[in-house]
Amino acid sequence: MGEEEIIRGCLRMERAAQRALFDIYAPGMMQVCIRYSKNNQEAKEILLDGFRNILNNFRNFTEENAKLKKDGNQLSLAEWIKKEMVAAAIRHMHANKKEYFVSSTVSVRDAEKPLSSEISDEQIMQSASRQEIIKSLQQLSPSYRAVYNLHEVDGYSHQEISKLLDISEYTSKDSLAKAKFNIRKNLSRLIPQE
Amino acid sequence: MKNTSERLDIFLRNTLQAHDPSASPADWSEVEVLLKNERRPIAVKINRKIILLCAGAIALALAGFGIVKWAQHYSSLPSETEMPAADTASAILTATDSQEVISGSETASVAAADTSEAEIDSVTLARTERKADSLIADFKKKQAEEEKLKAENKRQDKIAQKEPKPAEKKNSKISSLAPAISDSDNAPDNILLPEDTVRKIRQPETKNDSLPAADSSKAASSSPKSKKGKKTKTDSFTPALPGADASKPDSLK
Repeated sequence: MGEEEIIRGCLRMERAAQRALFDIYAPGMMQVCIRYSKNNQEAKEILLDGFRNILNNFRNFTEENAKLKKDGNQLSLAEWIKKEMVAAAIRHMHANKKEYFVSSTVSVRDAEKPLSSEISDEQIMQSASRQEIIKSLQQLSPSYRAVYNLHEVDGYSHQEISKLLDISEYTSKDSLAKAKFNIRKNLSRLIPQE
Repeated sequence: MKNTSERLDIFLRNTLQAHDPSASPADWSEVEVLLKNERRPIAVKINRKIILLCAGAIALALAGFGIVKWAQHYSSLPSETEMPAADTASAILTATDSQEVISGSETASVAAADTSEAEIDSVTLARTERKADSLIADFKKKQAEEEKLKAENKRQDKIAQKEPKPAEKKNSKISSLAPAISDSDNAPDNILLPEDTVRKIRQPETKNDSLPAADSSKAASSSPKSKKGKKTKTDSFTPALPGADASKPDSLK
């Protein structure tokens, strides 16, 4: 089934087209959800919520593209689905605000103290696996994790992040710095030292 | 605080963006269950155009309703030719005429009410009632005035018959009715009328005739002609009542 057929079918709410869309884009979106969540279970919840929203409001894809046509910045289907999935992850984060202000793994005082077994960046790059990196990311607080993913991985600017998360640009920059520091710290603890 | 270097940042970014085939997504059946439980919303596109169209339709409907009401209102109004006729008649009222007009307007209004009772608006009914009331009030006023006049004239007659008084000074006050009498010093037996009026009443052809009770000299000396109209009017009722004239200012007072 080609992309155009899938789009037409999804606009008509046909199950076959919707299933095809899910089968094509679900694995990639699962990776996105894992980055934004603290565990696989939460990632699955975000994925299901995201796809339910995408399939029920599929006409938004054509409407948004119709608006962006004038500017010449039309989104592809993959870009639009990813954008909707990130929005679902942020909605999930806002819905679970009790975990929002979980303190970071490293306090300010601890940050000033040098680790006895601090490893270099090169050691991290050589030794760190994907699973360890994801785990270090999932150990961050939801706000730091969201800012890091949006800026470093998904390419959002601080201005866009401030609008999405309803925070100031300064808070966004500060959260990113702290997120990077904590990821390095977490990786240092996760990577077995030789 | 030692931040990650740029190289490490790039490494982490690339690792996180890379595709991981081991990632196990959710099953389609789970998604299908969610979609089945969802109520499909009714697709209603609310655009500016639709809002404007609805507003325009509502405005047209209201305008049409207003026009229909207006037409009904004006078609139900009774013809107002009766009222102007009554108004003009009342302007030329005499004692008897006014009564007839009022009764006529009343009957006309009653007839109008009878004939188009179902159609006459409450506003027009109020108008007719007000006009009728004003006519009745005018008629009553005039009746009262005329009765007063009659009573005064009767009094004058009585007084003149009983005690003809030398009402010279009093007569002077009745300048509007008998200016000649006020100047005269003659006995109340004599009618103190100016020559002009005497001529007109008794012998309008003969100018120099004097009344048997009048003093010609006095009558000739003073006769303001400007008040003939009123003099004649009163004299038509009381031709030989100087005393009555004298009492008049008192009653008028």
